[in-house]
Amino acid sequence: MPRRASSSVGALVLVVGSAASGCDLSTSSGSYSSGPTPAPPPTAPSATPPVPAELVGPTRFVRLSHRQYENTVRDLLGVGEGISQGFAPDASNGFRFDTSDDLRVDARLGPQYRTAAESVAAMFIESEEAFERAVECDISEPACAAEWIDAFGARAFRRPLEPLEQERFVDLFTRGAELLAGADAGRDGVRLVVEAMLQSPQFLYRAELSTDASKDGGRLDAYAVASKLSYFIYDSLPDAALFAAAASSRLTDSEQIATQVRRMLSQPRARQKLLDFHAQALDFARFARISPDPTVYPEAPDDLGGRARVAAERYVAAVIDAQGGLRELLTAPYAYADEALAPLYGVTPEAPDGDWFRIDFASGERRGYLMQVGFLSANAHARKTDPIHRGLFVARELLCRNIPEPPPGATETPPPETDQPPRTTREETELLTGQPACSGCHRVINAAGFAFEGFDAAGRARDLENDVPVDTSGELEIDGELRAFSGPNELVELVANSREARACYASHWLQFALGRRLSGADEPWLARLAEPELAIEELVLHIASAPEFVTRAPLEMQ
Amino acid sequence: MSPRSTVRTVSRRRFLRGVGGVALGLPFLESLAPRSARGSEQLAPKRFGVFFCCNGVNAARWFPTGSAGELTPARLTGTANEPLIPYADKLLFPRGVHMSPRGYNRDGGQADDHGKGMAHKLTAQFAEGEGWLAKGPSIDYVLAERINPGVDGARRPPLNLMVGDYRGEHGLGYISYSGRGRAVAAINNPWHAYSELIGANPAAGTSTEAEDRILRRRQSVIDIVNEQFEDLKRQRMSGDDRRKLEAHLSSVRDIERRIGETGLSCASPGAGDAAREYASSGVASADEARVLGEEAYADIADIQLDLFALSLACDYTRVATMHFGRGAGGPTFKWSGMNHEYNHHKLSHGKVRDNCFGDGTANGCADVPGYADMLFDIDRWHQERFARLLGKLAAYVEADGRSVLDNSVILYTNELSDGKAHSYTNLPYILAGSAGGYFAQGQVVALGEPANPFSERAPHNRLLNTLVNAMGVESDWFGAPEGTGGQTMQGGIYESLLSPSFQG
Repeated sequence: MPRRASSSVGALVLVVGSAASGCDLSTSSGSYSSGPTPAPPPTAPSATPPVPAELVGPTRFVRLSHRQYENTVRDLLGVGEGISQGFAPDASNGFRFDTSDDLRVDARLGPQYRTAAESVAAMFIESEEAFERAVECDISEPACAAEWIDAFGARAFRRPLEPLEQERFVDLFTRGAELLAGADAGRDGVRLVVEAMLQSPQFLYRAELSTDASKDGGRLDAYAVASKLSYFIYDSLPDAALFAAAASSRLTDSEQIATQVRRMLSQPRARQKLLDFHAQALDFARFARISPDPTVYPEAPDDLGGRARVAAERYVAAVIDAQGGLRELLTAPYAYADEALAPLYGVTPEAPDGDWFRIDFASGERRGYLMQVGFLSANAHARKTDPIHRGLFVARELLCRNIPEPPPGATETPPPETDQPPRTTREETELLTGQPACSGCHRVINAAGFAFEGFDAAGRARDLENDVPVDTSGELEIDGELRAFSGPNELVELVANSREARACYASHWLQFALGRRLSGADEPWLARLAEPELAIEELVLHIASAPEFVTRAPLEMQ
Repeated sequence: MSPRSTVRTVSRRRFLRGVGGVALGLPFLESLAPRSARGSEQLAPKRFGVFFCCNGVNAARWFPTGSAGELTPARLTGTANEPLIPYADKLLFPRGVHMSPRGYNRDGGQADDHGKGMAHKLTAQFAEGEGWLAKGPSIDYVLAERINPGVDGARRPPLNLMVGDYRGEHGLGYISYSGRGRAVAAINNPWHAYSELIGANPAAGTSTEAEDRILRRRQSVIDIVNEQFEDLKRQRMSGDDRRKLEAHLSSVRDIERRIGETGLSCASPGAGDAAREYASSGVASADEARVLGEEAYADIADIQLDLFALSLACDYTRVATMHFGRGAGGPTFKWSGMNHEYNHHKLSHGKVRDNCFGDGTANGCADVPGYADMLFDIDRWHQERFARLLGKLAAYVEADGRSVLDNSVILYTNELSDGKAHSYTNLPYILAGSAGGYFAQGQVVALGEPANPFSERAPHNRLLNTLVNAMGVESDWFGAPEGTGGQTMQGGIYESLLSPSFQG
């Protein structure tokens, strides 16, 4: 197995990036593969355990995220909203998405699982609505109890119960009256079984098992495939159709899986997952920091950040609906606004208060996500634009360029003295970053950032800054070629049509889907996803139906 | 009592109003201590606590006046530490300590000065990656694995509490690490913290018959869960996966071990009073917006500190941390006589914006007039909180006749020293409590060059190592391994901090 969680894939994307950017990669951030760390002196007992060679390895037992836990409980029992809120937050290991496959159960979370299982089991038997929906026969009849245990167990564990398990839970069920002494022995039994199943590792982990790697090549069995698809696309357990497909061995080839994935993508909950991906990949969290100075930008409404988030979600949803991909995300000639956002686009509101509507930029004055008020104002200071962060987003998040943190002292160094003080943000930024220690990376960052200088800190279009015409032209190396652009439209075209950006976007999707950083072994797969250009839903379909997705990672066996 | 009500924990609303708190919260809090803590093990275990503040201090008015020597109350008068005067004879001020690995990028590693201040302070490890996460565990995790209740391989983790938000850019909201790159989010919602403590014994206070039934039921459920684990363990799996499942299973065993521990009393009789006071002040909201907002910041801080004290007094944990969030951020103080316009980080630089450094006023970096006094008020408010915590711990008398504070050492530490300069030298440190007689008390001790508190002769990794030893865990070195770039790091302990009977 690859022992270094390093960036060979990164190599695919980053080597191009490094050649193009001129950024010194020797101080690259983002990789944990800093090589073996010298051990402490052998004679000294140390309170600090030795540093592991590797942070994250491929796992066969993926713990449900807190969100997945809650969704699964809801889908199983119809109760338990908010049950995961008090769970200990998972340790941050720096993985960029919330889908990490490296989640653990420590001495804090273990007891919380017990408390949660007891709570939802009690809620379930007390809720007539939930109970009757889930238990259709008379639970006091032994046959009904056995039937319910089979059905519920198969959904809780996402596979049929083994005979031994069935026996175990039936036995527990029959002890309900003795152990709970409630009014209804049948419900007491149900409650015990729910408590025990929700604390079982078969519920809390998604196991990626193959029966025999030497015979099946490590291919997951049908139920593990169904679970993996379902938690990838729904963040919850498989729906009835997916279970049925697994039960009838209709998840064995890519075609059959693709059929299921197409069906799943048409469900509302799949849409939520696609939006979750973009909220993280495009960093919607940054909208929370939007705070233009109202004395400078009187049109900026209260809660601009909250509105920007809704607008961005609507935009991404529209791109998905139109079967768009990365190109559309970056170049579609429309945006969403409510009454309060519209003036920032220079548009008179068309809809009554509170409604959202689409603004079409018929003459191409704005195109794509990067020219919308949300991105522009989230990457701005209170009173002026922030071309560095706008450009950094393009370089890091869209092109996967490895841009290290500024060198020591860089942010504390005052700009050099000049006879003529800078007139515009662009001139000021050029002065500040023109020093040799900075210019390597900032050549790339600034060029991409300056392209958006025609939009101020509140996202309004402008031709002048301090009465000086804004300059949005520049040149950027992309796909290994130095390309000139005259303004933001040409820049986003360049980016949207580049292989670099497609590979970067696909690598984010793949990390999101797998819950781990990529390794060299993922490169061929990634290359297939980057070329030709795929719509967002097609990309999901390609990932989910790839043989790699349903084959478990080769592991050292112990 | 019907089975239905016995499994219910205190409802949020009752907790919030503090009404049910008296009826339901009290017996729980009084019954936290495991039976074993009073019997076979030592009567009064040593405890370790951390009180962590961010963004540095107004260094001109924080330290005791004068140089090394006895800490008289007069030396604290007029400083931010004046609220600690009642405990002056329990305090030890190590002076001239610097962070190591150092800041200002002198020793390398990822992260800016704030990132290093947060990631290095309790770990003495370098930060790495885009998350600026520490490369090794923090002292609270190292100690909990050795001294907390439980058995080796399954000891309870430290109780990590905070006020504010741990989320945000980079690792600036974290101080604790369970291992390399594993930043632990502290509990910022007092309801969740409270639930964790009472969750240990949710059956307490019910009838004997119902209690007995709950115990048998839980045992029966856990028996099944154990069998389900055994099934899984028969699968072939990698060593990593096996360890992951074993760690999970040991948390189940911890539950099992504690199933019988209902209806016990706290070892410290004073804890009952504390719980009463706590319940009547239980005004915290479990509502996330309130927890992350600033309106309830001061109230939440106090409740967290009360839970901190109770958890140590009742031996729920022997290692606890409290962290005022967060590096390069923090609240805008509008309470206790303060009515600031700018948040803690901006004031630490004396500027109206966050990304200003130094004295220049270009780029909208206007000065905040009077910021130094505002910082002093913030520092003093934090030290009032510290005094409150020490007061609680000093009030609990243990079976050996000493107070919980005497048997503990609570470390005051800060992300930076002088916030405006992002300085990593001359760090503000206080050790409160003697850790059962290990540390000297009522002293200011110059560890670096007595005449120059800014020297780099006294690295903080050695102070952390001293604290590890103080808890009875033998260690010669703490933090990043030698030779990995921490040029001023040292092994060994600071003997001059020890009480005369412990000095070599």
